[in-house]
Amino acid sequence: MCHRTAGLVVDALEEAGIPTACVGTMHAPLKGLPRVVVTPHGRGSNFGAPHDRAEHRRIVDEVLSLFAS
Amino acid sequence: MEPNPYRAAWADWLPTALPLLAQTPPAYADALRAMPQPPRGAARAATPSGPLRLALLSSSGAYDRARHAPFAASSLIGDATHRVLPTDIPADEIALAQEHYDHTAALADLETILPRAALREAGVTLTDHLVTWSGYCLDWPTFIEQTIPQMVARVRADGANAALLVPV
Repeated sequence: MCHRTAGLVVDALEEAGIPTACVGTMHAPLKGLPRVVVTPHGRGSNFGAPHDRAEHRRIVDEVLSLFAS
Repeated sequence: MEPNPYRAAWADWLPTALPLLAQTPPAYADALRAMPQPPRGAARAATPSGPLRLALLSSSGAYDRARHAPFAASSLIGDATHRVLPTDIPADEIALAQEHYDHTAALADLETILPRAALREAGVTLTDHLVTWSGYCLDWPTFIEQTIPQMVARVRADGANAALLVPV
């Protein structure tokens, strides 16, 4: 449900002219959204394990690449 | 006011869902299988050509423990409201009210869901506010009609040219 509500927010932001990226942990509910990163981590650790700075940064860089394309 | 066909469909569905949601344990899959879906948006915004000024939004149920009421985490239909927090609020002033995920990692390190340090390290400017909601929200008509417009208005007022959403 959380991913599906995010899709509703994405639609409204994109409609308002604000491009979005979404970092989730499930593919299906994010299907069709414009910029999505699905990570292999569990819900509540979307960007990786606590204090895993390298993984947090890796995912951030992946997000930023979506805005650059 | 024009009738909202989605609200009507949702109102028809809700009485069938509530008994399933009230079971112990709740029969979420059965309840949500027939939940009507609103039409999906087709708009796609252009990405900014200059530096990012990024809004960070999350369905984590994060709130300012000193200033906000918690989200109604245990309501059968969840909570359709949102919270606005200063982006630089210390992690220990944030609490989480969303019972549908394990908080262990986020409480140990909020960067797992709100990667403020990692974004700044990457050179991104964050807007002045975090926008949060509870991912367990079944009152989609209220969420769509009332809450999301307020969230979008906040993001626009903060001067964002892009947004990162973290559904939890």
